[in-house]
Amino acid sequence: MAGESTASPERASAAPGESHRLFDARYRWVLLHALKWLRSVPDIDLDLDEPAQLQTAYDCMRAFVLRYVLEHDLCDDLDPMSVAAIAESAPARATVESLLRSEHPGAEDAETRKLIDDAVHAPDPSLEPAAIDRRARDRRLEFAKSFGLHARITDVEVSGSGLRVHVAFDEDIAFTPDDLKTLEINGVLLAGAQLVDVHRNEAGSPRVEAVLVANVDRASIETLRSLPMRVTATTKDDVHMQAMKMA
Amino acid sequence: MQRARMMRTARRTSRTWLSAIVVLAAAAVGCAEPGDPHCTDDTFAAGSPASAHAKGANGAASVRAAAPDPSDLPPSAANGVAAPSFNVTIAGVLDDRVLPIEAVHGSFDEPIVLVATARYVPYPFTEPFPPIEPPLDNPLGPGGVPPPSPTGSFAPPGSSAPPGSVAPPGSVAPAVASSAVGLPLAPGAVPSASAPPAAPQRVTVSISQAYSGTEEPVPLRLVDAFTGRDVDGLMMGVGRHAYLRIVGSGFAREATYRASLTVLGAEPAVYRLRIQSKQPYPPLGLRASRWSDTFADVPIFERRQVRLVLPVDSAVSAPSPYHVAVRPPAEAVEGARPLPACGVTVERSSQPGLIVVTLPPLDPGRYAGRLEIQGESLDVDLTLKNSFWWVWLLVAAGASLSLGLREYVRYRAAREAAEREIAAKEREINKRSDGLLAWDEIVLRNVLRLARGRKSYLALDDVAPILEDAAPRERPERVEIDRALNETALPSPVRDQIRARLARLSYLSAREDARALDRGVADLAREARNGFQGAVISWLRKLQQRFLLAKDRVNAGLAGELEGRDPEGAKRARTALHVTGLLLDDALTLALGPGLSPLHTGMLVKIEPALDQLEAWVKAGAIPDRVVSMIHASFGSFGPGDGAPSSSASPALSEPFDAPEGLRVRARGVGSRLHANEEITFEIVAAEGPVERAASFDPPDLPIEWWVDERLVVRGTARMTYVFESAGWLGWRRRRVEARHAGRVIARWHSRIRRPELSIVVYERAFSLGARSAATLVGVIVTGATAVAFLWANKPYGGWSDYISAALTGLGADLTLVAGGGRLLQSILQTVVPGRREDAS
Repeated sequence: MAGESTASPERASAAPGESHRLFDARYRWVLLHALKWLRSVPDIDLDLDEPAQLQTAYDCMRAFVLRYVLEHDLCDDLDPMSVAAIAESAPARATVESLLRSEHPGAEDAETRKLIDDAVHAPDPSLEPAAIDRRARDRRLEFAKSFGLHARITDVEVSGSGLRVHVAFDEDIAFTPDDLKTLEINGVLLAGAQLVDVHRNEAGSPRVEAVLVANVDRASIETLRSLPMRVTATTKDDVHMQAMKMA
Repeated sequence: MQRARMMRTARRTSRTWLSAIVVLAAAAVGCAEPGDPHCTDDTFAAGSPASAHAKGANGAASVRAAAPDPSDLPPSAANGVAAPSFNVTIAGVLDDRVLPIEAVHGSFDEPIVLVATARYVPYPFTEPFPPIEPPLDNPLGPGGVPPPSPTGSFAPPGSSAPPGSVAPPGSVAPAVASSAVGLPLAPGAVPSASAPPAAPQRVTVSISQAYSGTEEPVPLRLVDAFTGRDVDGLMMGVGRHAYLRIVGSGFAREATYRASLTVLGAEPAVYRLRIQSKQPYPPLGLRASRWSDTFADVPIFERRQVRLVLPVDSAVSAPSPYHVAVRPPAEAVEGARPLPACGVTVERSSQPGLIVVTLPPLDPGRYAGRLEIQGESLDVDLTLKNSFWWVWLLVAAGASLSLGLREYVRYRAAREAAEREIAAKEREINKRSDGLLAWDEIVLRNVLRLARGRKSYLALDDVAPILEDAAPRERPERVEIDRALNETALPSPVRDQIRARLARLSYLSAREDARALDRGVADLAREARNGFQGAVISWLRKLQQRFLLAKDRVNAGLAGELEGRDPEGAKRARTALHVTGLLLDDALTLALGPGLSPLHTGMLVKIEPALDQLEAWVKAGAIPDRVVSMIHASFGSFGPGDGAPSSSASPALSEPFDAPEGLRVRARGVGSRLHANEEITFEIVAAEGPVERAASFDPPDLPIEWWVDERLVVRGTARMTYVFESAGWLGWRRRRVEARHAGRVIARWHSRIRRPELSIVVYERAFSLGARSAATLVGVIVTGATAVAFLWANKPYGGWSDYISAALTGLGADLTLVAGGGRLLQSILQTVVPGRREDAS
């Protein structure tokens, strides 16, 4: 139960295509975010400020993404940022635009299915896995900037010279050494802190492990050993990271 | 001496002047001449020696007025002037003029006879005959007065001239002055019949003191044989005898004393007295000749003075204290020490016929010697020793010492082993302290303090079972909670809320909160297993309610002027609310199903500030184009979210609170009183009311640091359960408990606690110890009996060697009989009964 509950929703057993409800629940906010480009298309007769037309555009985008995921068997590796990357690809935009320009946009008829199948199977550089990953990372970074990033402290090493905090992330925000801008521990800004090491585990969890080093006086070290530790770090890309360790 | 000479000269001068005055006075009263012998003076009629001497001197002066009185001359001068014209010898003396005398019991009284003989002049006379002096008118002395007794010459009872009578002029002088009967003449003496009757002349005799060479001289006296008066001169004539006695006393040694007796005759006659002193002390007549006794009551480490009351025949014959001499024993006694040379006294008892012999204080031992009491021997053979129960006591002391040492060694070893176990547990706890909840850690530390408090002699065996409770409690729930918190995608408010709950649970530090801690951890673990689904759904429900309220307010705001003025904005606002509602429904669907994704939760956290912003826009009457981002679920630009530090962090991370003044600490123990080795709960209470009923203080910020005797015990809540290791010496130590927050003391407790209550186990152990001591006592009884037989009976027991021997006997008995015997018995039992070995193993 714990593994089921703590696993990412994208790794659930239920396939995205089996239930639109579950897919919508997982990725609606991503797809809605991806439909923002439609507002810049001039000759399309669509009012995205109307809930019904917004739903129509959403249904077209969902149809393409679902078809693409199923055709490419991406159910196990699907995550919101991958969905966002697929939704923001050129075939997806073209397909949604074509569907919205059709006579009956949003209808699940043969013509619609044929259009989507052609788009899904058409080779396109933007739908290459590497391109999807790159755009997913960019999107993840963008969301991380907006929402922040949760991490967990896996180990704390206290020595006479300072403090080494090992933190783990489930999202790869492309941390690199010397990427740390500020570091706060229990609300105290520590000058001279560094992100000295980054380990990536692409296939497993955590995705990223980073090591933060800070100089702390000896009296504070004893306090840190016995009190809960809350670490707030900001990278040079303005990504806020929070991590906490109980006493 | 010069002064004596001056006095003598003065006396002589006064006498000369007195004689002149007397002559002048006699002339004045009608005396024919001063030298008239018929002229008498009543003054010299007295019979005293002094008067006689004076009279003699006066007479001599009357005869030889021009010549000085020989007695007035110094001895050297008198020796050459006043010698009589006849010889004086001592009858019965050997030719070498040695007079042997025996002094018995320190004195003697030896009679001697002086014989005056005419001087023998060989023919042809080479010397003229001595002038024939005219007969004295009064042969007995000048003036017709018989010579006084001190002169030694007197008329014998058979003579015609009784003493004191005045012989008529021209009468025949008696042949013997004192006694002429039966006294042989001296050899060479001229027969009295052919010799002309000699006129009495003064013969001076003197005797020196008796010397032995090393002691004080013993004075000797010449006394008249009949009257016993001292004599220094005699009136003798040729053919006369004089009877004297030489008297001496005070011969304190068995030795030969020597003295000289000088008789100033015509020829020199100095006799040597050889006084042989025998048995100088008068015997008491001891009625015992051997003193053999045993004194078995000498106090330990002390001496004893022994006494003997001895009957004697004549205790009063000599002055007390009596003379005692210590001699070696007649026969050597093996192992006996000689009697002390000093300190032995013999005194007359208060009861007649008894004397008391007292020896000086003696150490225990056997003494042999011989006492000579007034010359009588008394063989002494004494044995002094301590009482026999001292042997028991020393054996018991040795056994107790051995038992005590064994117990002490065992106790120290057990203490060391216990402390090692405690220290090992302490190290284990220190290693794992970071992962322990406050209550779990303080429970362990209390167990360690309790174990250290039980390291006393009677409670030491309790340490091992107590330490079994010192195992760090494994709380897998906490691991689940931590992992779920770290790995589950949770909205930051939900994560902070759960962390705050867990932090509060982790700070609980009192026995009263233990059940709440267990329940809270179990609840959190259960929620963790569900991915904190309940907390997420609850939060989403609240967010949904917040959304509905915002939706109502926005719709109400749009229904008015705003819709007419900005219909596009109003439409976008409604669409934004519609999309937000869909997203909340999606989140609830996920929360009830597989769960949220991390970025999704970040988006959900931004919804509430976005709603606030939308309400603000509607309230302001202007809907900006930025509302489009809400339609496309882009809430990142609305207010703080996960990207900024949360304000709803755990209590431990918030700002320190200002504690009110006057907070107190209430202490509650297991019973009505506070004892060491028991759990005592300290709680911060408000300042109002009696401390026993005061309300508990709930600090808004944790942790509260509890310091006991200036040592940090735990960071916990407002309550802390603590076990004192000890109460200090006799419970007099005042303990200080302080509750601090942010380095400031907010409440304190300062008082004493009582010593640990004695448990039944302690009583049982005391009885066990008593039983073991009794077993040792039995061994001591047996060993003591043997020791008494070997060490005490018929032996002079006492002294350090004996004491150490007795103590070592007890020590060895304890080691061999009790310790060794116990082990031997145990090994035998294990050998004989196989089951016991298995049980022991």
